[in-house]
Amino acid sequence: MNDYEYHLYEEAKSGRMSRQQLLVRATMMGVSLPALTAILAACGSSSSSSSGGSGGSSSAGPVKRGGTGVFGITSPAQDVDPITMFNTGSIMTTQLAADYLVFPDANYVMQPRLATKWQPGTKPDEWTFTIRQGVLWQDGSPFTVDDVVASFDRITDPKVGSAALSAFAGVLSNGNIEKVDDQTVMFHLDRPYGDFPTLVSSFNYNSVILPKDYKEGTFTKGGIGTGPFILKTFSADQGASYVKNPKYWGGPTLPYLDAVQIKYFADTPPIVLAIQGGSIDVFPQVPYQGSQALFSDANIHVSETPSSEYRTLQMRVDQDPWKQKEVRQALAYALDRPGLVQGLLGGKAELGNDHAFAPIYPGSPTAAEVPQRAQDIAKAKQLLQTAGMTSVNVTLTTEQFLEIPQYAQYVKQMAAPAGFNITLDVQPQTKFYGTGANQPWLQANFGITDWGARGVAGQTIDPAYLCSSVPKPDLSNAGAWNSAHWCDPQFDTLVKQFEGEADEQKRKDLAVQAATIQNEEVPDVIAYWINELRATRTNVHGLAVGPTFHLDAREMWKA
Amino acid sequence: MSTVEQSDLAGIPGGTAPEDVASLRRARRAELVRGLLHSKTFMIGAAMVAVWVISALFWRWITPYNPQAVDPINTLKAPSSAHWFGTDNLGRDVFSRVIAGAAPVLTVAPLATALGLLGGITLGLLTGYYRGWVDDVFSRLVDALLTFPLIILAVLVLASLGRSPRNVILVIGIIFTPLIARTVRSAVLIEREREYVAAAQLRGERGPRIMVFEILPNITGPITVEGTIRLGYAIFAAATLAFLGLGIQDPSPDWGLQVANARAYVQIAWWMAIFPALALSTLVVGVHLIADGIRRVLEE
Repeated sequence: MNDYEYHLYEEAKSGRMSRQQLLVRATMMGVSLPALTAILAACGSSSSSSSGGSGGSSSAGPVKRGGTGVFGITSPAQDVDPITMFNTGSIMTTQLAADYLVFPDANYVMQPRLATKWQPGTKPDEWTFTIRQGVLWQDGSPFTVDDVVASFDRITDPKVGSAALSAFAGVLSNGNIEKVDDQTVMFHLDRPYGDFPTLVSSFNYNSVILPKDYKEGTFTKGGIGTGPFILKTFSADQGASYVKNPKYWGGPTLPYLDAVQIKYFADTPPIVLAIQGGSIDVFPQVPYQGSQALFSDANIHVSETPSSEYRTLQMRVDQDPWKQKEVRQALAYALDRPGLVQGLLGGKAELGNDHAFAPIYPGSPTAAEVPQRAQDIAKAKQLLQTAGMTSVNVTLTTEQFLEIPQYAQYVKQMAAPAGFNITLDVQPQTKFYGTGANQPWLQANFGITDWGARGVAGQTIDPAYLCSSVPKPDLSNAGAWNSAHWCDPQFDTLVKQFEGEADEQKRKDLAVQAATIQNEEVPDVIAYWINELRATRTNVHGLAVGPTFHLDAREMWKA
Repeated sequence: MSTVEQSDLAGIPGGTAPEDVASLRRARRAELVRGLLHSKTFMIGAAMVAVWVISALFWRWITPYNPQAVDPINTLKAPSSAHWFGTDNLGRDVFSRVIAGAAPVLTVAPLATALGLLGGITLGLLTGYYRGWVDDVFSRLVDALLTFPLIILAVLVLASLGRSPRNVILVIGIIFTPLIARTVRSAVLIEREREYVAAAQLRGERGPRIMVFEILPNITGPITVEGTIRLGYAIFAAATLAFLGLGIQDPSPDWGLQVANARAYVQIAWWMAIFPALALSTLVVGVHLIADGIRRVLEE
């Protein structure tokens, strides 16, 4: 047992770390399975992850092989390419055919895929990954370390313009991926980063491993990837079809299905009707609003898993009326968070406390460490008075997506008694995200933006809250998503120390300090963390339940 | 039509004195009102519309709840004694929103129709009276316009102008203009051949004066019918645009918007869609009954 493993043992033994947190941190830091088993045994637990398949109860009987699994997802509305993709439709279409080095389960425990093991150097500014041997590309050619190096060189190249740039900014620079030997690749980081495996997992969804000679824009021609299914046909507005990959490295056991089909839909209501009618088997990412009928349908099973998916209610700290933090705090105190969780998500969410450390991340501050903010209209009014205001007139700009328009309505109504007169501007999602120098989500004075689940706090904080991620006026610094334009050097320092720290207690202390600053400064209100929902017909078994914008159908089968 | 005869008399030198013409017109109006009051079609339509007009004017005093007030703990509640039409996905009282929803509809639709009437009457008078190349160009333009599905045209314009009640009024008004103009033009083509027009021309009156003071009073019948029918279409068009997300935005209780928002909840909360849809239907049917009633009385 090395020093870090012994440290984890002490943390778990003393009760400062739960079994789940231990699994997440141990797999993140590349603790070997024998060592992990030993630690858990010493603490009186077993090493199996608690993530199950949806509907995959023991009563399902023996696995039935063959058949076709049909998924209903929102249309990517564009050609799918793993390098540039950023929406759920594209990501899921890719993930059935391709692989990552590591892949998270529903509890954010990192599982080996094309990497069999990984570990940091003496400091976590160097990471080595051991690559799985004997893997074949779907065209029969061998998968090598060169493919891994080329894949990360490609998505860290600013000229390529991958969406992964925002995740790698300040962590991994182009050209710093080294082939050590035929089995090992080393990542030389810009700074110590203890959660690096997250960035080569599907949480950084563009980190798909592609052939070294991959040409951008060719993925949907099919036959590219090492994944369990081979893409055969693709239509951007209809769907995609796949067949079982007979050369899959997980074979001959996996996958269980002979074929998979994806059907694209423009909106939630037709997907709900499709799964109720049986024309699809799985609705992988279910928004609560508009899908309530599924919860009372005897033929549908809806799994629920906590996640780090959330919404920012961002306030431009460099513009009036938000320059004074008292005004931002007043808005934060005006919101009835339990009401929002109930009204928007039927209670399927955790309370947010205006900092980016989601409850699902190990070591995130608890309400005892950073007191939970609750609705207090009198205090909100008082804060506005302190700022020299009695009322505030603002426009809330946001997108027509998921529960967000309803969230905007609640914000408008809940904030009114405190003195906020809010006008709503709910835009189509494409307009809200925009392009080039016109991206309202980064420019609006006051807005709501959706953030998908991330593997670790740093994955959200780095692109969204650091000084280096404040967008330039012309938005030329791609991947800078600090929509509140908030910069606090002390917060930056704490976060970078947190990301480079291996000692769990020190990480916890740093997280509490950083969260306290963010909670106090309130660049954006984080009112809730959404539990992710995945719906399957009751005859579907073995499908991983989450994270729900990740699709792992290797073990899926139909009774 | 008797109206023409009165006007004919009024227009001829030495004919009926102006005060007699005025009294004749008053008598004619009284006759029209009596006819309408005895028309079941008109009266039923008027009663239906009156309910919504009263709602639009006095919703602040009628509604049991603030139509925009959210209640996150009581979302999607079925109709009950507390909420007669149930609650929506934000916990808002659907009955209050249906009552208050009359206001935006009865603001946008009449203003859009008025704009269409203003433009349509002007264009119809000009083209019908002067005919010639003005008429030819206009007629071809209208033909071209009518080859487009009008809703597509509205969507295109609103997508470029932006969504606001003002723009919805503008779009519907502009689209209605050539349609109304065609009806007015047809009426003017008949009227311009009447003797009273020739008499006015002989008196040396100029075209604009003849159009406005001689012809226009004599085509109020078809204009009234056309305007009322268009009002029905305007209500429907505004609701359709709101349903498509191009009209008024939430939290407005606009009926079309309510139906659009209810789409995702129809399986579990039918009340969200059915009551605003019924409100819309009754208003449109009411307006059309009024139009039908006026047309029948005028024809008699």
